[in-house]
Amino acid sequence: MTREERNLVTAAVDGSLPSAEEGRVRELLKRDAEAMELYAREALLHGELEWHYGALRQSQAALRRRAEVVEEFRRRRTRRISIASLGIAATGLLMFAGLGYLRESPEPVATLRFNEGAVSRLVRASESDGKSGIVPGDRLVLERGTVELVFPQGVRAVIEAPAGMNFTGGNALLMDHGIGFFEIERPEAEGFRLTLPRSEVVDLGTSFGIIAPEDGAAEIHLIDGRVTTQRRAGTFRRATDPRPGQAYREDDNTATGYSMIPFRDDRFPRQLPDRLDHVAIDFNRIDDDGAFAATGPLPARVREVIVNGGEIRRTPGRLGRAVSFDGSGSHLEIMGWSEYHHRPSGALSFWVRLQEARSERRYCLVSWGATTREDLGRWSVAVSPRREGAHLSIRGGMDREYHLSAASRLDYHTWHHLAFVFGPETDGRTRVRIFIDGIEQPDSMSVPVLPGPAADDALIIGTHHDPRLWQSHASRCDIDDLRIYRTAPDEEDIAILASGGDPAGGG
Amino acid sequence: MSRIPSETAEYIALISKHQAAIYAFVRAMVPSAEDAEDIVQETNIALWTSANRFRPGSNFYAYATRIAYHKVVDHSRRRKRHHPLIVDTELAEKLAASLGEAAGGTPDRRLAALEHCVEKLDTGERGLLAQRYQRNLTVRRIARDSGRSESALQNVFSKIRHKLRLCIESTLARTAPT
Repeated sequence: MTREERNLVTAAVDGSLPSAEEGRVRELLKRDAEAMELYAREALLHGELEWHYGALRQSQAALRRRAEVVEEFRRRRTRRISIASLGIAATGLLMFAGLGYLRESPEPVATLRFNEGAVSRLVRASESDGKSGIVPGDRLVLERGTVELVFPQGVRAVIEAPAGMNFTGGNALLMDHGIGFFEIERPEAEGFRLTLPRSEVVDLGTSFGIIAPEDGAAEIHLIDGRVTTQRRAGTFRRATDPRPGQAYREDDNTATGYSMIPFRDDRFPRQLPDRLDHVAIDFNRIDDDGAFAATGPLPARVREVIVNGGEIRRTPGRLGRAVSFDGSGSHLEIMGWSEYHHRPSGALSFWVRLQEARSERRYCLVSWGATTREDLGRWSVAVSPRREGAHLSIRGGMDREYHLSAASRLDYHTWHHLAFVFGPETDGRTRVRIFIDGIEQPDSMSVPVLPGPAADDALIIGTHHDPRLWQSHASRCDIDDLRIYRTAPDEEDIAILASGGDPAGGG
Repeated sequence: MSRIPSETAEYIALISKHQAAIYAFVRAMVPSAEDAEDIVQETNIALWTSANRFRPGSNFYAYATRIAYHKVVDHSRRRKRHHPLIVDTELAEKLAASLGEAAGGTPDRRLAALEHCVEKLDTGERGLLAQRYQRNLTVRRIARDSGRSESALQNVFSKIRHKLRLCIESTLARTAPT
């Protein structure tokens, strides 16, 4: 086996083998026992490493959950102390102690604002009532999404997950990892100090970006103005002063501790993402395994389920590529979407083009929600084909079925945009608004709040013959650009979606 | 409360001890970790329902991976998703045999040895493994983030795995039950 062949085999194990080389490696494995032995050894270790680190990840998640429980316990305990203090304060006996506590509360050093769907943990430095804002010593871990920090002296920062940071003062931040954009909005904030694990950056009136991986060299990109940066530990090194449009990465092999790298202005988030945070399955993206890939902040997975040897074809869509269901019952399952369930408000939007009906049997376009509890929490959108067009109907759990008026009719062979907007919830009921081609239908309804889906409840595109679900026949339609929104879009947003645009501004 | 018979308890312990080894075997034959997890679950169910067919004292790893192999074949056929390299039965059979040899005589002890050997790597190597396997970053992404070429990084990973393999073998030899 040549060196090149060895490299191809290890690349195959690493998942970085170009598809053009797959045939060659297959042949190599067939004819060369040494290559097969190498592949088996490497692949086995690869799997063991995945297992080891996967187990580690789970135990860390368990630790995080434990930390959250401890945090919640501390918060409740603090609340109890506050309530007790109020009662006793009436006697005047402990009022002095209460005032003393208030006097000791440190000044807030920053305010935080998160984008929709962000997941974070705030670990308090001391027991406070939770209303006092961020104080020195507090730690924020951002697991998903983006946070905007505003420091009272005039520094604004926008930081993307995964990130971890400690608040050290009114004009300073310690960030151990994350990708962030920093700008000084007022001159009195000059001198803002950002401490990274191995560098210290002092802002002298400017905007700059930081890329700080959890393990690895941090990068400093100067967008405008002036900063000075210096390595924190090791040998005495002089400061580096990048010029606007320059970027440096920590490098132990240079005299300054930095080496120059290409500047990347586009990498840094300047604002919190738009409120219309969503998961999209546009059928244009295909992952390394040849499966459709979802985009968005959740690790949603798309599974193709083939029934009766049917086919889910790719077809030219309303926006790029779409999927086509051939009446066999094959369908797509979107896993891992349940965190995006519409509670208390949200929306589902997609494009559909119906094929000419062969019978009047109803079939499902999309269904979502909980499959447990005897279908109580399942939503299904279906069409009943008729000669003049198809009638839309919705089933919203609790055996309730809503047939929409004849006005809500879909023509064959024409792309229609459908949107179902849920929320808000009041008195145990949810408002559902239905839009066809951007126009709200008169059939909007108020329905009981349904139980949310479990983690393994799939969102199904097409018809799924599950006896627990609403019985309908196999789908004959094309579907494109399905999106799940966590926040309810308004009429204007729906109109933008129905015109093929993107209200999130993502293009 | 009823007690679990001792042979059943031993069988459960065998399934539990071999989880990492079964996963690694399956993972080598399917395109994604998600597929591998699904197949391991199916294998566990099959191991449980066919418990009476296993002869105590015989090679459990060989027995379990034979079941896992059939699950891989079923799964790939059902889902029409194959490993890009393992597309026919001949190759799949060959790989299954090679994986059995690579796992050696004590596949259930390899994970403990691996954990020990990961700890012995230097900080940079551990950091790279954590990025690749804990954060699930691709080699390409790590290369891009660290400003290295993909092929250079691939070599680094290959060297780390080589180091780990030597360490695992020596650890297993040193700690072999007498």
